Amino acid sequence: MKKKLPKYLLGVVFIGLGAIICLPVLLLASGSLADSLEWRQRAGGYLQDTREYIAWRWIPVYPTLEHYKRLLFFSPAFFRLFWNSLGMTGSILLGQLAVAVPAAWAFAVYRFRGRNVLFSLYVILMLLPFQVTMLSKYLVLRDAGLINTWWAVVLPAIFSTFPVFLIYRSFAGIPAELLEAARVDGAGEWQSFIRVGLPAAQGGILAAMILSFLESWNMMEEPLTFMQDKSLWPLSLYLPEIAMDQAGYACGASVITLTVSLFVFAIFHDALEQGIITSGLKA
Amino acid sequence: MGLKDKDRVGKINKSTGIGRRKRGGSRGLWFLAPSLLGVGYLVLLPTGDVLRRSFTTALSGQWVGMANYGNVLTNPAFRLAAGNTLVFLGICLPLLLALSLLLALVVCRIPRLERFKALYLLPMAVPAATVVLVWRLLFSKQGFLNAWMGTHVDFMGERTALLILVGSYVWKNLGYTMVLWLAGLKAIPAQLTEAARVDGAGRVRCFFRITLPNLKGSAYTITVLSMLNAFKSFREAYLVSGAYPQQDIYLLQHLFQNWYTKLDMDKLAAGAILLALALGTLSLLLQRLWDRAGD
Amino acid sequence: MKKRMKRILALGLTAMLLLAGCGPSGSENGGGGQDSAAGNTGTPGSAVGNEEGQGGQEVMGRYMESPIELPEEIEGLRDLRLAGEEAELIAWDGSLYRSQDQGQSWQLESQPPEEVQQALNMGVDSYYCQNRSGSSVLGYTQFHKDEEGNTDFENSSRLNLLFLADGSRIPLEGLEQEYINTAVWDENGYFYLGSSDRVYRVNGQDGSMEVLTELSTRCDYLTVCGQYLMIQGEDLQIYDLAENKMGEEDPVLDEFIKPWLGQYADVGSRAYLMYLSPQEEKSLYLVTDKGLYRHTLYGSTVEQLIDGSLCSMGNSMLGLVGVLQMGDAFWVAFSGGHLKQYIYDPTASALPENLMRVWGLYADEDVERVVSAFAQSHPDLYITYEHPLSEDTGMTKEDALKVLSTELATGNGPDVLLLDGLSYDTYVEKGVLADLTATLEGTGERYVDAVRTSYQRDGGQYAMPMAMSLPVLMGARDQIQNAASLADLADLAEAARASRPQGFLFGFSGAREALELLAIGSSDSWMNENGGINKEAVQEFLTLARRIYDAQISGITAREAEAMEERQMLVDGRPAIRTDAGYQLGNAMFFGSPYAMGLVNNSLSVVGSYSIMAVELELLDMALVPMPGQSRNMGKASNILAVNEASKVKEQALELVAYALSTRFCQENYLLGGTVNWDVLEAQVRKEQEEEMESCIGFEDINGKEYFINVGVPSQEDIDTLRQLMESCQGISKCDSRVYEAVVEEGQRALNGELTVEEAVKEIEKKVTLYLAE
Repeated sequence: MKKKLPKYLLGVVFIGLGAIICLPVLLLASGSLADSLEWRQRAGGYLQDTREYIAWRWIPVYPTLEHYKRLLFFSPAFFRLFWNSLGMTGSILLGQLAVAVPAAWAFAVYRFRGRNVLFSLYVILMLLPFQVTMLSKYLVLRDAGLINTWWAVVLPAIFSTFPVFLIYRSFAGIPAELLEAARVDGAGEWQSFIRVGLPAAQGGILAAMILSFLESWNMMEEPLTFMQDKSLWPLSLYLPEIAMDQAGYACGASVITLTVSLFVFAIFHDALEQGIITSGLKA
Repeated sequence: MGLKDKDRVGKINKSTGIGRRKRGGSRGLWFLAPSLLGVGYLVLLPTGDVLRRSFTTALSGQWVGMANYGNVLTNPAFRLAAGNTLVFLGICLPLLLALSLLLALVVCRIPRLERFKALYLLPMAVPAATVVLVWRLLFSKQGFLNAWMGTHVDFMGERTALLILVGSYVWKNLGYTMVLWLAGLKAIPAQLTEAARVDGAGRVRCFFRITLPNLKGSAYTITVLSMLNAFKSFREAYLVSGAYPQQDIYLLQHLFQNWYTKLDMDKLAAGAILLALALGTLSLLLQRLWDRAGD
Repeated sequence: MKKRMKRILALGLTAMLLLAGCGPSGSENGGGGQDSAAGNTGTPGSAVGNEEGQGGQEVMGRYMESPIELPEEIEGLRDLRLAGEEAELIAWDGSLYRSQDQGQSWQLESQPPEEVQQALNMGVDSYYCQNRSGSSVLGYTQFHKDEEGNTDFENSSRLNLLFLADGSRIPLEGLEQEYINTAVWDENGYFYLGSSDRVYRVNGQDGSMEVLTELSTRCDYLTVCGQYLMIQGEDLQIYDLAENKMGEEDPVLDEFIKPWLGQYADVGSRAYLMYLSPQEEKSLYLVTDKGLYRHTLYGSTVEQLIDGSLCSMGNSMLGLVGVLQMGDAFWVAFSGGHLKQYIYDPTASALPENLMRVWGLYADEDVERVVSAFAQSHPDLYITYEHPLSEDTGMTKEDALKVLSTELATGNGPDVLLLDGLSYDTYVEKGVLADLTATLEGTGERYVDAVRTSYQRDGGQYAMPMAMSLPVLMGARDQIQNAASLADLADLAEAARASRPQGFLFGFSGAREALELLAIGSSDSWMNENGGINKEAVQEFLTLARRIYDAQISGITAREAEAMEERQMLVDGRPAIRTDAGYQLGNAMFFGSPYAMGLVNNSLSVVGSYSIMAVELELLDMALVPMPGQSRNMGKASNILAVNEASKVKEQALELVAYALSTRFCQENYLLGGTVNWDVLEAQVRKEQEEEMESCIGFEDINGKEYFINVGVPSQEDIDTLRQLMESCQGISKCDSRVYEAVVEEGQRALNGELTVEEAVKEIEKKVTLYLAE
């Protein structure tokens, strides 16, 4: 009994902390169900900068789905952007699969001159904030005629070094014996990659893709800078434009944006687990 | 294959790292080619341009040598931003890493808690603009925190802004980092710890002698990822406070963005290269310390 | 369990995708839905996009505009129409002119009865129209005469009359309570009158009337389009005259015309026109400031035939009066008596070859006029005027500046820049701006030197404002003539308050207004030599401003406060801040305050502020001196023009700048701002003296007492005062706009008592130090 008590407490604390962490999201969900009138009343102090506090109720006085209706049925802009986000994210993920996975394989499995230097370079490039290369990237993209099109955002994202870094570890974790065995069986380079590398690292690749998905779904600086045409923008740029006087609507839009990410999470949750385990996060 | 003796105790078999080293390089380049081409054109080329610009004047392109670097290093705004960024990283990273490791250990001990991991992962999916919305509801002059405390302080405009930024960062990344640690922990074969226990080592010693050393690889990845995410905090800060936030959360990105707006491309470039050098050194350091799989 | 969950989730995701795919497809033509956020595509002029796309062939063919000469005596137009092959127009006084040779010559056909002419010329009509057979309807306000035979403005009645071609005059009964504001005729001899509640049909032969239809929203205009009567107001309703009932709605038309519905237009003109083609069945032509469009009534498309920005339609100075189709050409009548013809030229390129971009943060009417006028005289140039912050897109100033920086850094910058709100020195340092010295000297006109030198750097001049205003203090001459510093003003205010415990001392009401009024005269001293902020100066400013403000509000009665609230115009729910001296003086007159402060913009015209001010000052026995302040005799500049050094149409850009500052432009256009050009001032004075126009301005004071003042040509004394004022100007304040904003914002809170002056200065420092240090 005595030994169990601390464990029990620990467990409660853990779950409690988790619940607190989820509070803000619940805040949003609840806020999205309150109609505009109620929001104006509640947030009057904030909107007019008086001393009145924002009132809070967990359950709105008149719960309503008006914001969702508006988002789903009366906002052609929202849909266009939603589709944009989806399209861009999808293209980016596909592209990254095609480009980053083989690159990570190369780094992990082969030794060639300048490998270390190149990989370190990849890591540094990954860490540089966007503002650093903003102008130069713009010029390169402009000379390629890609400004104001999807490609201006999708192409650089496909060649981002971030997934290479992540997937590298999965490939690095493959036991040498497996590779040797494959070679003994007469497999060529490509076949080793397909038959041995990919299956062994699939979890890690999935993990990387999920992070990439989140990154692309929520990206802000690139579309803002490289695409002036607002009809090409992704969803992540829509949210900041909703002012606080439409707080309920903003909550609703946030919830919908969130939900997509959560869906992706939920579906690939198991594979994610597996992936992280096999992704070679060992010493 | 030859494992050294001291490697045998307390560390995982490193045979995973050896075999591939023998593969000849040139064939590998085919796999790397598309990435290299793309990265070269879309990432390296712009960075090279930035390097060039760090030695020229902003729009007219005249060569000025190291003048820009001098300007930047003596610029009080740069010093402030660099200092702030360092402080921010210095607080965030250890805090996040330690906290998430702690949580991971708890889950390790109480496997039943695994199903509650999802609670911690939720914040990851929240976009920056939404985080800002929540901040406004909580921390503005009329926000909930003020209501609770009975004050009217604009928390984002005071020194507390840094706390909010750090808190928000930890909130967002706690879950995923914990999951990563968890994976790393699970990869440590149970026999090692058991063996140590049998040998009489206490729990704490176990942790420091066995667990921690085996987490080095995880630590490397996690630290790098966390640094990446720390830089992303700029988004929230910018959305809430604009280009000139409270002094303590005035980060390098704010400075770069403002220099950009003022057409100070030369200072921007020099500052950027300095940042790149700093990051490079840091990541090399980390690699040396912790990333064994990469040698 | 897990697998089922997964399947449900996967289905859910797919459902969302499908929902996203078949969501309401956004409309292409800018009409789009409820969202203002992220709903609009880029404007056609956003050149950064433009330059990329247009590879390939050039589209050819464009309608070219040319003027149609009209007889000199025609001052304005009321109607334009076709009579078979001939064109007819109704002039301002109701005269009918006809042209039998496609506009080359016009003959006066007939003139309306005396009563009509008088009413129209005096401008007391509410509606007038004349049909083919010479009958007309007129509604006007008739002022009665009092015992002495003078016009009694208090007593009037509204008359509604029908005049037949033979001259007989038939009063229309039953309209006494109505306010009819528009009238049209149709081919069947009927007239239609529109009021806010209903539309009447009048029989053109006997004056009998009936109510055609009741209205739910008010009617601004009526147009007859074939068998349809277009009832245009807050929304568009179509009445089918053939069927004698309300017709179907035309959703495409509704969507298209929405931005123009309910828009205000000057007397006698409209915001948009509708015209049913006599040649093509059901082809409805729409004329707006964006151009001429064709729409098949109840059809699904609206196509643009003429781009408004390339011709007079886009000129905001010109209101639309009427349109007709003459063969293949279109004629459009504009206010001011202008008639233009549009003929299709298949050999002209669809867009002029050269693109010129004019850029400013906010839209300004004067700049719009420059662009419009310049575009007309340069048909080979396609000029766009971009003003990112004045559109409802939620873009912040930072974003707009970032985009500008990107454009400038990549060589795609605008050709002409308006530097209002931007940091002049930054752009000069980076070599972005072209030297205007040669251009300005080349015009041979005389500019206010002080203004020119303010913008000189390193021997070159890189910008020149179109307008300037000077801060002044108005009050009893003996009291204000020795007030030089801000401290003097504070003393003055406190002394005044001591002798006058109650009542307004100045004409301003809010803290922000007070600061903006006081700031111009002091802001130059807020920055110190090495680009930092001068704390002491800012502190002094705020302390003294506080004293002045306190003196003002410490004696305001509740009644006065209420009256002030009523007087104020609201913009977005907040009182608008008016710093012009004329308005402030008006407030002073209303409240009977001894002093007033404001910005004089030296525009001389009968309705220009200075002329009115001169009269009012005399009435109040007040004098005018430059505003006391820490940096006295500094002025404020607006519409600061600069040319991009890297512009591809630099020559034309310089030409545009020269044009904007020239006498020629200012003479043709009523400038809102005050000029920086001595020649223009002279020209204005001359014009005033020549035209000898007079007007009568009425106002009342807080006690309800009404005054009418006759404003005529400003006297020589007044003009001299103005000239002296302008000559006393020593330059334009060099204070950085960001610092200025910070001082006014935080200062506002200091004045309101939210912060102490020291705290405010600290806040200002916080806001500004980083910016200045970068």
